[in-house]
Amino acid sequence: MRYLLKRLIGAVPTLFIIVTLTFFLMRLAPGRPFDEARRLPAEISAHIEHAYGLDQPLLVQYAHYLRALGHGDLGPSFRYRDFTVNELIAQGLPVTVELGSAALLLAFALGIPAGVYAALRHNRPTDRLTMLLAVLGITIPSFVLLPALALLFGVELRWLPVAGWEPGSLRVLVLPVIALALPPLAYVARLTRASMLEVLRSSYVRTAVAKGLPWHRILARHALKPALIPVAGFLAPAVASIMTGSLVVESIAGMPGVGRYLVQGALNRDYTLVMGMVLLYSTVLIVMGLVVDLLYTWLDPRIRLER
Amino acid sequence: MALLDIESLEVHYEQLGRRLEAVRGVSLAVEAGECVGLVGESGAGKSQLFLATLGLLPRAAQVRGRARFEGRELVGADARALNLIRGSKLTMIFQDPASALTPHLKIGVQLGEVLTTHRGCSRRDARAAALEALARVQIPEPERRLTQYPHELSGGLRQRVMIAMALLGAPALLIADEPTSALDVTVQAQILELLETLRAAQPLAIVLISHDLAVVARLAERIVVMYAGRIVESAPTARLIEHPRHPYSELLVQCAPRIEGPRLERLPFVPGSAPRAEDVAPGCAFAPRCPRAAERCRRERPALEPDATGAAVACHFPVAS
Amino acid sequence: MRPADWSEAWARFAAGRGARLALLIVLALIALALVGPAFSPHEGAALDWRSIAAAPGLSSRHWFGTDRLGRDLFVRTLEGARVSLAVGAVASAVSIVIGLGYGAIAGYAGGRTDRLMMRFIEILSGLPLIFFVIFVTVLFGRNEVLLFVAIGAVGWLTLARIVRGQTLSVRRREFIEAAIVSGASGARIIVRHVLPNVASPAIVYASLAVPQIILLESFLSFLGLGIQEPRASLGTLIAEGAGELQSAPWMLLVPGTYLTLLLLSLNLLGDGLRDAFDVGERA
Repeated sequence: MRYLLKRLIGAVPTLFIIVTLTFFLMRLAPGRPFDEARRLPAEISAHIEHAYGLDQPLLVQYAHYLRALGHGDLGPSFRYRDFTVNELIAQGLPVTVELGSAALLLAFALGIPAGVYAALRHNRPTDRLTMLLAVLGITIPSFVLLPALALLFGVELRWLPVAGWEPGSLRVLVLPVIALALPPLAYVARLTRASMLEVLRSSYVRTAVAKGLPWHRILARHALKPALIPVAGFLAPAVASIMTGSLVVESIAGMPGVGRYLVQGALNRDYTLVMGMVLLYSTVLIVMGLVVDLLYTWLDPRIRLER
Repeated sequence: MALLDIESLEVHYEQLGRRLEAVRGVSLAVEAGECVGLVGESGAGKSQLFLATLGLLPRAAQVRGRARFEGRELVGADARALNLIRGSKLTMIFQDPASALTPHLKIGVQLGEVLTTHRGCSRRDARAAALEALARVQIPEPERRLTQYPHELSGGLRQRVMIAMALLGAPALLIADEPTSALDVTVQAQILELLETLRAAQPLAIVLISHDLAVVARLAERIVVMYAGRIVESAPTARLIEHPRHPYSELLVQCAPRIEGPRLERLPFVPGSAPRAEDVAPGCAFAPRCPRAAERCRRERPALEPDATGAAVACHFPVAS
Repeated sequence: MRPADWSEAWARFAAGRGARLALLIVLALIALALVGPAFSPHEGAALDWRSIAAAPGLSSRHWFGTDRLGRDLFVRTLEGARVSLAVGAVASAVSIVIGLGYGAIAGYAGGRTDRLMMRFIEILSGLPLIFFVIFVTVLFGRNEVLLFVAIGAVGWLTLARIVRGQTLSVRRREFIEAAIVSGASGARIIVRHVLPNVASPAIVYASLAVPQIILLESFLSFLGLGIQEPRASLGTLIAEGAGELQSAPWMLLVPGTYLTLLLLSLNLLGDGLRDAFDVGERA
């Protein structure tokens, strides 16, 4: 427990740097946020700037910013005048979380068994086929894959809808989740296979075999946990991959999640929105890092006791 | 009938078109209750011989020949048949107990599963038997050990645990592959003593594999010397130490460090290095390093010739007794 | 690395079937992008009003089809490929320069400077840098030079770590002490002694970074945040294609296939190089 606290505290400077960096980057940007709209008469733009607090000295703005963040307030959206960033995020987050967690689950729930299976059939056709598919899964970009899948299943075969979003409908989710899950799934499979192969060559597995234990027991109790250690380490990068993938997938599939908001915000130069998203994503990643650390202690007792 | 009868066992690997021979036709018999020592340099094939016998080699290993345990053929047997024998009647312990025990499982679990697998014990019975086994190998505080992980124990304790684990199934034969090589010298002596004690308490045959002749000589009644995948000499311990007949055995005996005896100016050593697994030169494999080698040795490989007493040597010009 | 090591590594690389094939494909794709359009009677920007959104076919005037404006897809894809490859090359170069420089300085300086610099890398590693790149593109407008730099600035961390490690170990050797005593400047030492030693990990890193960078650029361009009209990169072409799925699927498939093939062979190439230059292997 003490270890967790230490890690949590260690994450604060990182967060702080992110926050500060985003703020100053934003203020340093050339041009004013409202430049792209039609040219406003000077007094109106001054009025708007005052309303958004842009006419105060930099450090004062910074202080306000920090204070607002402390309250969890991410500020108003520069584009959608009627909404605050918090509200936008609240609207879009459930969609993205649903999409992302389904993809994450799929990636590990399918990837791990695939990797184990390939390891057990080492160098046989099944293994080679699985690894070939894995390479494809890792390299095909999501923005090529999803349209291609939509083409095949939506246009040609007409099994699934091409795009769109209906709340509560599962059919719309299928293709986006698959496209999102495929790269991390492929990576997990490859990683699991390599790790499992190494564990199966280890001295302690040899001892277990020499003890005359049945194969399923050796696999389940002796080999699986250590083999999963590097895979657990992939959890944070997998989440990062899914987060970046969601930008593309939500945009293509027209899903109203925070990923699409980020893209729209970027295209519309909606600073606060983009900044809020960046903060959100960073926080999620940092939390994932902590979760992975916890996972490690469960998987390998040596680590637990060293802390 | 011998307890374990190995006949013309060969182990080789094919790698990138090259043929690597680890064991080149070894025949060896172990009688019930006997303690046999197996010595040789690393790469001589000592471990590979018994790993092959127990079916512990990777799929890449090609094994030929026969190995019968209590009459049942082991080579080529499927896993299920092997699992009836492995861990119960025929067990093996390995060199480095730190890596040979599963790091994330408690000692109690690793001990208990031998019993639940082979004797169908209940958990409670298994626990009691495990405690008793730990006591037999003289481990202090056995209850505490059951809940500990391998990395919490010292090297010597870990090896004792391995021995206890190997004895749980009441084996008739225990293969000890370099059991002391990873341990401190003082701990080495303790482990060997332990093995002696255990043998005295019950009918247990042991094959003690080591590169260290002194370790083997202490425990074994008979010593088998291997070189480059073949047996070069086999003799009762006392005879081998006093009158080794193969030049390699003679060098081994000379090299074994001794406290007593005349002071030496320089430590003797065996010059050169052992042939690699892919070298398949004709003639005696030891010829390049043998002080007694002649032309014949390089041309013709000496066969293992048994004498009247059952000892054997493979040499064209053995050392006179 | 000594010349003997180089030729040995090269031999190992050449022996790998997959790696050889990958190299061939990469070279072929690059060659195609550079000279392919010259073989076609069409121009990338030319609008062919007679063949709007025409399907590909050997008999038609446009072998790979056309887009919504009648532009020949073959030429347009290859021109887009040129842009993507250019960005990949430049950004990778930026990335390598930063990584080498940063790592060499950190390793050479040692002590507190080194620790500080490494800590900085640690923190950066934990961030979702893609989002920061997006953020930067938002802020600083659609400045393409900045795009190159931003993309390149994302990937130098690993290389910096490796270079720093190598520099540290080289620094401690005695001939460096001798060089310092004899008055050689830090920069000279870095150039003459450190850099040759880090050449091999740098190459391996570069081979792995290039496909990542090309992917990143395509990703951004796809979303509309990267390369802008009138220039096109593979990413923008794929975006156009995704919008025309139901009517003209080849608009997606032609550039999509090219990009996938490029990334695939670059990755395999990188794997092969890594196996050849490192002693250890991955999966």
